[in-house]
Amino acid sequence: MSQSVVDDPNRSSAARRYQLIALLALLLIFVVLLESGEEMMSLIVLLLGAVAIAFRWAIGPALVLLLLMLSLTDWRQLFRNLERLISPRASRLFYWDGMTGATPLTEVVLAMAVLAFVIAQYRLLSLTRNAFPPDGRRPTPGPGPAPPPQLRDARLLEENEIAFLAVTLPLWTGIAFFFWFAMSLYRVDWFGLTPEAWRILLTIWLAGAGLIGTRAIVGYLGLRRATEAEARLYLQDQIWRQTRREQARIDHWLTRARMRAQQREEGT
Amino acid sequence: MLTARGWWFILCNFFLLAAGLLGQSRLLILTGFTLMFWFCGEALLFAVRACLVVPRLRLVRLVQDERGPVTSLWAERSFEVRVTLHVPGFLSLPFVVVKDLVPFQAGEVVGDPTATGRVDLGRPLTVTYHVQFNAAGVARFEGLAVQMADWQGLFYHAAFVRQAVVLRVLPRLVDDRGRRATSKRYNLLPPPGIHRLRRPGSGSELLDLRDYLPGDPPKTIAWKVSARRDKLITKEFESEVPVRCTLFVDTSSSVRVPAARGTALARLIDIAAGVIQANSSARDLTGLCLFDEQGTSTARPDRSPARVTAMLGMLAEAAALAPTAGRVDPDTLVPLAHAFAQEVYPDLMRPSINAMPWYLTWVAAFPGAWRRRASALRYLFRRKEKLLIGGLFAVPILVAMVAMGFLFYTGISLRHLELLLPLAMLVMMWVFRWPLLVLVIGIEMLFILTTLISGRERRLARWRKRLAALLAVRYALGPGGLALLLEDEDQLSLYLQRFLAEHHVPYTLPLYDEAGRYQFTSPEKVDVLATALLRSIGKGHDNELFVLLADLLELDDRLEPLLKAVRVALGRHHQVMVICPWPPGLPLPGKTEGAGRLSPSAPLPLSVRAATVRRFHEGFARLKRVFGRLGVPVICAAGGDPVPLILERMERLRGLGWKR
Repeated sequence: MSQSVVDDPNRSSAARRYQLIALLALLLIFVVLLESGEEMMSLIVLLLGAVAIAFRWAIGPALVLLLLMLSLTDWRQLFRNLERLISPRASRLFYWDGMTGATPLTEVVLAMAVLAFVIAQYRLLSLTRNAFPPDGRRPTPGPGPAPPPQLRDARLLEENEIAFLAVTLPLWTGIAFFFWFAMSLYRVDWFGLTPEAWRILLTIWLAGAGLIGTRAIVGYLGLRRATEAEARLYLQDQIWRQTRREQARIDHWLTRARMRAQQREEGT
Repeated sequence: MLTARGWWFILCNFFLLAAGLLGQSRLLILTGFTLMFWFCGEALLFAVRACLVVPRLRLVRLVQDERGPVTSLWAERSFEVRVTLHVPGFLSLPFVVVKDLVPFQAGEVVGDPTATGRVDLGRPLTVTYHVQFNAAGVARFEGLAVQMADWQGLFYHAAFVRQAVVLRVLPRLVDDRGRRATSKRYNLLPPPGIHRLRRPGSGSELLDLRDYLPGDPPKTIAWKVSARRDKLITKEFESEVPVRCTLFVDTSSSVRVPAARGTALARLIDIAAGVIQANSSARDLTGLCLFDEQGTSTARPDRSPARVTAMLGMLAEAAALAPTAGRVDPDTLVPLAHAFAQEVYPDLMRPSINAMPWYLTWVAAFPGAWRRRASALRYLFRRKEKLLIGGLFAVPILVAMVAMGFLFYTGISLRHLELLLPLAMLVMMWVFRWPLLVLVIGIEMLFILTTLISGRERRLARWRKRLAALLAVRYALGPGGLALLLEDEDQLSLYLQRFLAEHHVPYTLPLYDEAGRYQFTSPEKVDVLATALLRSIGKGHDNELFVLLADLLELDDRLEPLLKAVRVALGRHHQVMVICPWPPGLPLPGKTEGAGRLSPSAPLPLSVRAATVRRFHEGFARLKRVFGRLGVPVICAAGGDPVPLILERMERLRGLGWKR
C-alpha cells in the first residue's frame, strides 16, 4: 500500500467508519454466540474478527463465516445426516428430524450482524487494499516497485452510503426469513416427508432451478442484444465447431499447394 | 464477473448453508439465506448495470492546444486531451475506473490518463492529460477502457468504449537553422521562387539585343541603340521561371524496419518536411512523391500553405506505416495481438461467443502445414490429433489389411470374406497381441505426453483461434475464414500485421526468413522510383532539382532503370541528389569503426556489429561510386544536416542556373 493511500485523510475517515461498523457487528455476533453457550468460540470469533478488522485481512469475512459455522453446527447431527445421505437406503433421508434453533430475535440479530460485518469488512478492503483484481495480462513486475493497487476513491463515498447499509440489513434479512417461512406454507405429504426435509429439498430445487433459469435468460438476452459483429462471430464459431475437420482438410491442401507453387517459383 | 473475493464468499456461504441444512441449525440456515439473498441482489444489480448501462456509454474526445480544438497535431508540441464519459439513461455507474488508451507513439504524457468516479446522467466523468509526440506519424486514440466494480469488490466487469480518433502528427516546425540564408549574394536578386534563365523570355532583366524582326512588339525596340546603329534593334529579356524541387521519399518496408533509435523512415520524413517548409517560406515550389514497392503517391509542386499542409499530412501518414513481411512466424505476433485485442475488443473476445472449447485445446492442433523448421515438441503437438486417431484406428485398420492380404494370398473367395475377415482379424490380434498392444500404448502415450508438456503451445493455439475468429469477422473473410487462418500461417501473419498496423501498435518482425534471406530489401521499388522520376521529368520545366530520399544500399546491381532515368534528368538540365537513409546507431561512412579486419577471436556480438558496419560502408561506397560517375552527389541522411545541403543546391539553381 502506498504511503499516500495511508495518509489520505478522506480514506482514513471512511475506513474508520467501516471499521467501527464491523466492530459493532462483531460484538453482536459475540453476544449471540455467548447466549448460545459457545463461550470459547465466541471469544475466538471476537478476537480473530477484531484482528482481521485492525489489519484489514482479506480473508477476514471468510474466516468469521467459517468460525461461525464451526461454532453453531451440531456436528453429531450433521454426520448422522451425512451417513443417511450416503446410505443405500435413501428413503431414510425423508425422516428428517426437526430443526434446532434459537429465539426469532436472536436469529434476526445474528443474520443482520453477520451481514453488516461482511459488508463493512469488504468495503473496508475496497478502500484500503484493492477494489479490482490484478490484471493477469500484465507481466510480473521486475525488481522495481510493484504497481499500486486500484482502490476505491475515498472521495466517492456517498453521504447516504451508511444509510443504505442500514436499510439493506433489515431488507435482506426480512426477505430471507420470509422465504424460509413461506416455504413452510406449502406442505406435501409425499413418502412421509417431514416439513424440514421438504423445505430443504425445496430450497435445493429452487436454487438449482433459479441458477439454470437465470443462466438461460441471461444467455438468451445476451444473444438478443448482440451487435452485428458479435452475431457474426458467434455464427462463425458454430460453423467452425461443426465443420472443423472438413474445413481444415480443405485448407490444409490448399495451403500446401500454395507453398509448393511458391517454392517452384523461387526455384526457377 | 466474479472476483476472487466473490468466489471465496460464495464458497464460505455454501459451507455455511450446507452445515446449517445438514446439521439442522436454523440459525445458520437463516444467516446463510440472508447472505445469499444479499449476494444475489448485488449480483443482479451489477449485472443490470453491466448489461444495460455499459453498452450505452458514450464518450466525447477533445484534443486542443492553447488556441482551441485541433484536427491535426504537430511533433514536439504538447496538446491537451480531454475525454468525457457520458451515460445517457437514468441508471448510473456508482464506481468505475476509466483509462484512456494513450497512443503508442506518444513520447511524453503529463497527467494521469485514468480517472475514478461515479457516472450519472448529467454528471460525466472526465479524463484530462497532456500528450506530446516526438516524431511525425499518426496518433490513434482507440477509446476508453472502463473497469467497473461494486462497493464490496465482489464483482468486476471490464469493457472498452471504442471510438477511434485518428489524428495526423505533422512533422516538427522548422527552426531557424533550417531556413535559407537571407544574405544577398548577387546584386540582382530575383524575387524568391523565381529563377532567371538565360533564355529569351518575358522577364524584366535584359538578356540581349538583336535586329528587329517583323512582328516584334514595338515596346521592345531599343530606341537609343537603334538611333546609334541606324536600324531597328529589339531588346530581348531573360526568361523567368520558378525554381522547383521534387522530393522522392522512400516509404518501402526497408526503411520502416524499427531500430532502437527509431526508423530510417522517420529521418527521411524529417528531412523532407524541413525542405518543404523552408522552400515554402522562400516561395519556391516543392513537389512530393512517396513511393514503395507497389506504387507512388504524388503531390505536384506547389507553394500554397494548403498544399504544403497537405504534403506534410502525406508525410505524417507515411511515417506511421509499419513494416510488412509475408513469411513471418505468427507465433511472434500472436501474444501481442491477443493482449491488444483483449483490451480493445473485449466484447468480441468474450468466451461466450469466441472461445476454444476445452476438449479441443487437448485434441485439436493447427496448422497442418508449415514452412519453418519446428522443434520436436512443436512437431508432435501439431500432429497430436493424428497421433490420437492413429493410435485408436490405425492399428485395427492395419490388422484388417494384413488379414485381407493373407486371405487373398490363401485363395479364399470373396463370398467367404465377410465371414472370415473378422475371424482372421481376431486370430491375428490374438497372435500379435503384445506387439500391437505396445504399439497402441506407445502411440497414445506419445499423444498424452505431448499434450501434457506443451502448455505454451496449447495457450498459443487457444489465442490463435480466438484471434483468427476476430480477424475473420473484422476483415469479412466469410464463414470459412476462421479455418483458413488457422491452417495458413502466412495469411494469419499478414492479417495480424495488418491488424496491428491499423491500430498503430508497434511490433517487431524477424529480419530474415526461414531460408536466411533478408526480408526487407524491397528491390521492386527501384522500378517504381525510376518510373516516377521519368514521369516527373516529363511534366517538369527547366532547372528542377530532384532529391531522391531512398534506401538504395545493397541494390547497386538492380539500379540500372534508375540510372537511366537519372541520365534523362541530367540530359534535360535538371539536377539530382541522392540522400541515403542510414540505420540509427551505426557509425557514419568514413568513420574508422568497422573498417578494420574482423578478428576471429572477437566476441560474437562485436563480430556481427563489425560485419554489419562494414557491409553498410561498402554498400554506401558502391552507391556513391555508381552515382558519382553521373555527377550525382550521394549524401548520408544521418551525417551533417541534409536540409541545408538541399537548400544550398536550390540557391545555386536560383542564382547560377546559367552556369550549369
